Amino acid sequence: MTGIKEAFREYILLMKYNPRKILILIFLVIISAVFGKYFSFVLFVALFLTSAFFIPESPADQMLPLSDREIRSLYLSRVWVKVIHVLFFFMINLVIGMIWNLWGYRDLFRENPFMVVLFSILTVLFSTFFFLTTMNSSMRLLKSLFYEGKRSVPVLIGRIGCVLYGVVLLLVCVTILEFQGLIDSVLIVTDTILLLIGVVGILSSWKISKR
Amino acid sequence: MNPLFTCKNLTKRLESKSEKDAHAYSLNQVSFSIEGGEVVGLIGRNGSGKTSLINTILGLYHLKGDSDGGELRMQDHDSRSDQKEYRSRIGFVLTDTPFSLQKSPLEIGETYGPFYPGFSMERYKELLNTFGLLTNGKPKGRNKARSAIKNLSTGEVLKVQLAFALSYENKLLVLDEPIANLDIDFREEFYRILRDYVSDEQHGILISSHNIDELESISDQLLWIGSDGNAGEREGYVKYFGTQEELKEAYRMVEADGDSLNSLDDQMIVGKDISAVHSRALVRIDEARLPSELRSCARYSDLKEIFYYSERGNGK
Repeated sequence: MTGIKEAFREYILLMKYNPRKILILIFLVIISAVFGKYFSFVLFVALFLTSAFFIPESPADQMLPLSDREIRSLYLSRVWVKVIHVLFFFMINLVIGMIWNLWGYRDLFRENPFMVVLFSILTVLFSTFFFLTTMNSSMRLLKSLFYEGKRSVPVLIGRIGCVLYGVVLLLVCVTILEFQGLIDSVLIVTDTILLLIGVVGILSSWKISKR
Repeated sequence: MNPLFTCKNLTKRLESKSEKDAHAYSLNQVSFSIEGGEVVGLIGRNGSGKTSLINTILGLYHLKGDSDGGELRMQDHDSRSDQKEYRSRIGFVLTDTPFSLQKSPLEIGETYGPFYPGFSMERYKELLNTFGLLTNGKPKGRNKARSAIKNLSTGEVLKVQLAFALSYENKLLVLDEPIANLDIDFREEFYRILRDYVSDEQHGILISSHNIDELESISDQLLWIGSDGNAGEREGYVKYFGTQEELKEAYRMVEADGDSLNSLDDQMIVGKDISAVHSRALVRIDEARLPSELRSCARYSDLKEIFYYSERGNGK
């Protein structure tokens, strides 16, 4: 994919010229490592902190000596670098949680592997969808395929999805605290809805990027 | 010999995003060319389309759909079919910087430089040093080259863009209103840089400015964008493209009393100022139609006068 090397280079330059981001990186590693099975509930915090690593994007990208297709590919590469960035923390969470059975992570997995796998896939899909639909790169990508200034449907779906996810997450937290017995049924419903939104969002963004 | 840069019948339509403040602007059939070694000065009143033209040339506005058309060519490379080669040959210095405000000058060089053919980070740093933005040996905190460009002044940001543009192999330099934001002591250096850039006759410059006096001193040709229409729908067009001498040859400033000026044929008058103290009128020259008593009162007008009276309104 054109631009993946350049996107990684930009990511490294972010830290070269902003050393404080290294502290944020360490803090994110710690959050990922210690929360175990409750990592999904602090995912929003992690995503907002991860915004510190958003590669600043600008009109200069559109004037780069590349073809329009290569520029779109560069935008998509930046999105994938962000997704890999989140996956990195997710992997830390999974590996450390399972090894040390943090907050009963390993026990939960043995008890209900389907739910853990489903919720994990959902978390990854949602994070990917979050970046695809809220990053400047992906918005420019979508705008470059339409007339300047016109909104695109996938961006709207993404924003609505983010709000819905936040509301549902809040409901789940309340449910866990007050109604222990209902946790499984609530999660099945929310997981299914959010999974569908995530899949639709990713497929539509991927299809648009292929044009 | 083919021109260095050609714009042929360029048409570009822009519509506002807001439904409450709906308005549209079009560039209509804009054609001009830039030869190697030439500086083309771009003038026009506010909102006439100078920046829109520049943004379209640079690729910030794309040509698409039925309402857009025309051709932009950089040497033999078309802006649509040969995008990489076209874009790699153009350098830019814009008042509204296209670089991210979060990045420092050095970060900009390292991030974007590798995309441009022949970009030299050493040359870039040398120029930043020359422009007073990178002082070797000073503590990090006092080096503007390491500070995000949002913390720099407008003039300093222009210098960063100029340093970047001069650090890779381009053939056309496009500048959008740089002069007003440069400090007086840097301007002479700036003009020297522009003269050096075109001195080999292999490079060209397109520079827009409201400072007509200064454009008059550096431009070989003028591209004047006029505009018609109302607040809801405006259209930009080429009012004039040619040398300053040809433009000045077409007009005369007549300074006489108000009654004499009022007796002139309205078709000749571009604009006039009538007062008890001092009256004058800019006229389209046609010596045969100028009354004999007024021929001795006519003189060549400068660019500023031509622009002022033409843009202010017909015969007013």
